[in-house]
Amino acid sequence: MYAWTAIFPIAVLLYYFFRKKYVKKSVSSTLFWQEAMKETKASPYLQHLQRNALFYLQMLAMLLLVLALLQPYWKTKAIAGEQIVFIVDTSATMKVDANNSTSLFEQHRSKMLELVEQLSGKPLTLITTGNEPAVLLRQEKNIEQMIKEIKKLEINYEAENMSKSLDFAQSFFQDKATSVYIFTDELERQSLPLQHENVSWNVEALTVDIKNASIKRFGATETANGISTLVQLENQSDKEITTELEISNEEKKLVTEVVKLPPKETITLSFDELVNSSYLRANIDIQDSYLLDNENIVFMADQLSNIFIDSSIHSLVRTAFQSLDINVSSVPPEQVGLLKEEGIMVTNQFGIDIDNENPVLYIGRNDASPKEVNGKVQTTESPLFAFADLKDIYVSSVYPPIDGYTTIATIGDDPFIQTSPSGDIIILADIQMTDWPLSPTFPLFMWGVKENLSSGSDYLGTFTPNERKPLSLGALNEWEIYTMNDNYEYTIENGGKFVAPSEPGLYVLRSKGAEKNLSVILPQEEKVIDKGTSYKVNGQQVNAEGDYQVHSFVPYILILLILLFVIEWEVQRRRGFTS
Amino acid sequence: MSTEQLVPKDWAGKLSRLSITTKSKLRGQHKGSHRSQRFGASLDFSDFREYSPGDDVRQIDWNVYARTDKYFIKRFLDEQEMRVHILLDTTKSMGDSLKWTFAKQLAASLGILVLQRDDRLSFTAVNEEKKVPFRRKGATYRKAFIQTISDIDKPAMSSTFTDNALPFLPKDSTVLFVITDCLESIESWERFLQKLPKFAGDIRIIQVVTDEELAPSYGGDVQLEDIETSEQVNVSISSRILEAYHQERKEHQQRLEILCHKFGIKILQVNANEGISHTMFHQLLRANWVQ
Repeated sequence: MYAWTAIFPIAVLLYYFFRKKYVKKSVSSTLFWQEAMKETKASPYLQHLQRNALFYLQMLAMLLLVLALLQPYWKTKAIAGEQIVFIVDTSATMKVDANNSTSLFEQHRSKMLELVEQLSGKPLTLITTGNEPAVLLRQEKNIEQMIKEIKKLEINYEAENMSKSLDFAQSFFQDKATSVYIFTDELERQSLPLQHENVSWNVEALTVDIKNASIKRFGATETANGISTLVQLENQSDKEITTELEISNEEKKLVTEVVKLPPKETITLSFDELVNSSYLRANIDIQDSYLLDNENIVFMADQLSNIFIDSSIHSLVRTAFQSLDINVSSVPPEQVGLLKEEGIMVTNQFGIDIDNENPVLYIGRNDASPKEVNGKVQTTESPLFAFADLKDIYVSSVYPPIDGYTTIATIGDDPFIQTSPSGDIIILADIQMTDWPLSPTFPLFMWGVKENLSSGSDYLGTFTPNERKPLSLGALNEWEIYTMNDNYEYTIENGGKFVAPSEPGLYVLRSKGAEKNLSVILPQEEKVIDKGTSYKVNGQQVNAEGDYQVHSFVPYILILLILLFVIEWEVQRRRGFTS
Repeated sequence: MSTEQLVPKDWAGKLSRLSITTKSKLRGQHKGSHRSQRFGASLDFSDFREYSPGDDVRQIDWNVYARTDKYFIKRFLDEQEMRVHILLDTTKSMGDSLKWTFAKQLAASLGILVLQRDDRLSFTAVNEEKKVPFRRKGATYRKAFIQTISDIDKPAMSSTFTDNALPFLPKDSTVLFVITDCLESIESWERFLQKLPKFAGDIRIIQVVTDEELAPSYGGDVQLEDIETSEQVNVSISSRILEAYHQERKEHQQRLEILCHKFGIKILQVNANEGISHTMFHQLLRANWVQ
């Protein structure tokens, strides 16, 4: 650690080698030279110093050496414990304006950087919260690395899931004395795992009063007379807030209303008969501490989430859908045509006239008889097969194909799966005619069918920040994600690797001319901000030992010493070596 | 050192057209070749004066009496010898070979000037041991004088010139030449110079310098040793230091000149590097020390 001090003797040595050498020279008289050199002389006191400079310098050097041998140091406060764990809340609420337009997150960041300086060589573990807590630093001892990582920290807008992160952090304790610092907005003492005896908890929370009004909920449904909306506004502060609620679609403002929000209360407003639009945006015009929850967007094209299965269809189909956690209802065969509710219909009654324009998946057809086939299944490139490879399935016989439908899978030369111009899908075989349900590709195909049929619109749905969700976008296409303002965000390789953007707002997915919309909204709990308290819970076995960081004076003394040596050389050089 | 080496061969011939000038009235008792301001027995006519009783009757100019019926005495200038003393500084600071040779040449040349005008020359080199001074009159002693100069040992005196020079001086010189380098403190020079006017009517200091002293050619880090006092000074020569050196030198020179002026002493700086003939035929002439 002190290897660098080797530079001192080397410097002295170099100085010695390169010091000035005097050439002897006899002159008639040094009368003028003496006078010329005498000019520096000043007061007698200084002259005395000058004459005895070497003595004093050497004396000083000796004293400094003695002082250096005493190894003097000074103490600064250091963090207790053998190791330090930072748990950093990266949820959206950390964006709250805590103090003069610095966010709570930035405040915490500077606090973290401050603490890093007091580590005195102890290892630091840095964990961020979220759905998937991440370990950014694992028992790191390199301060530069720590500072780098802390400076890189970003808000990811996910719900904080503090309990997950706390569980995660506990795996690092390993019976060592640990100081845990939690940087969040609010954390109850009860939620800390206080059973560890040698762990002390430090919670850094939001300690200032904030003013916040939030759009808690915003929903819209299409009715016969236009769109009906419901808005729930919450005032989370102690004072009454007056604000202007505004609902607009992509073109113009639809509603503007001044709303008075009593302290700590939620009010609900509804508006009917709004113009049909593809999406609605509600926002309240208020400069509060937390701006993220002042806007909410709802897309009108809702996904079809229900599936109605003709009860004459084999129960394996139902099981497949149920395994995907999709709402499935059975419908008696005779009622298939009469169903009023929206949803995807699965039936074998081909050619039946279905009342509403629900999309249909036909499995087999009851109006024709099958013929035997023999051959391998071949598929075309369709988003339906993005996750389902049909190569290895056996099909004994198929129904005749329907004219005008597009064939997307064949067995030998016979069509196996077709799609209609309106988007309906038909599998030209009964479940009994194939071993497909036994293959894992069957539920995946069913999921693809559901995604395909329900996404009649180009709206992908609503996501929470960083939500991972496989989408049937087609296996081969790359999709680029843009914000509504056409700022490029990132690219995903295919629907299976879809991760929602972190910042709330509207986004567009683009690929080869195709466009799909999606919206990212704050998780519900991130719309609430409470003032918390910063506190400290000391573990019983964490003692004050190591509470101080020791800084040595020795390097500074060494620097002074080298300076002294150089000065001594200089004095000797001027004086000459004889006198 | 042989005579030939000290001065050029026909040096005496060249010098023969020069003579030392002085306005000093202090003269020797003996007859010499220099006209004196006094009236005397020389052939040079001075003026007429009316006869007054008591004057020598033999000096009455009868021709003038014939024309004017008045007695006039015809007066002639007296011719008297000049006593010249040359004092040579032989402290070690004069020991630089160029400087020393030059100083000796200068002494020899001045001596020749004096001797060939039939004036009385005395010469002393300021030594630690007191030698019998050279004291001669007449051109015949030129060779002997040059020999004397040549025989002087290399400067070996460590004590100061100004404090030791006085005992070497005769009391009755017309002209006193001091050949030195003036490299001693102003205070000691002041002590020396204030006593000097007692010894001669016309005192002339010839200050011998060299180019090396005027503008030191050495640079870098040098340990300078005073050959006279053995004092050592470590000097890292820089333009600043050099400037200080020049300043000191100039100041010393000025104070010396002021001192000389105060005591009515003439001083002339001659550069050894410029050679003896330049000094003799140009500098001394221009200073009106010789004619």
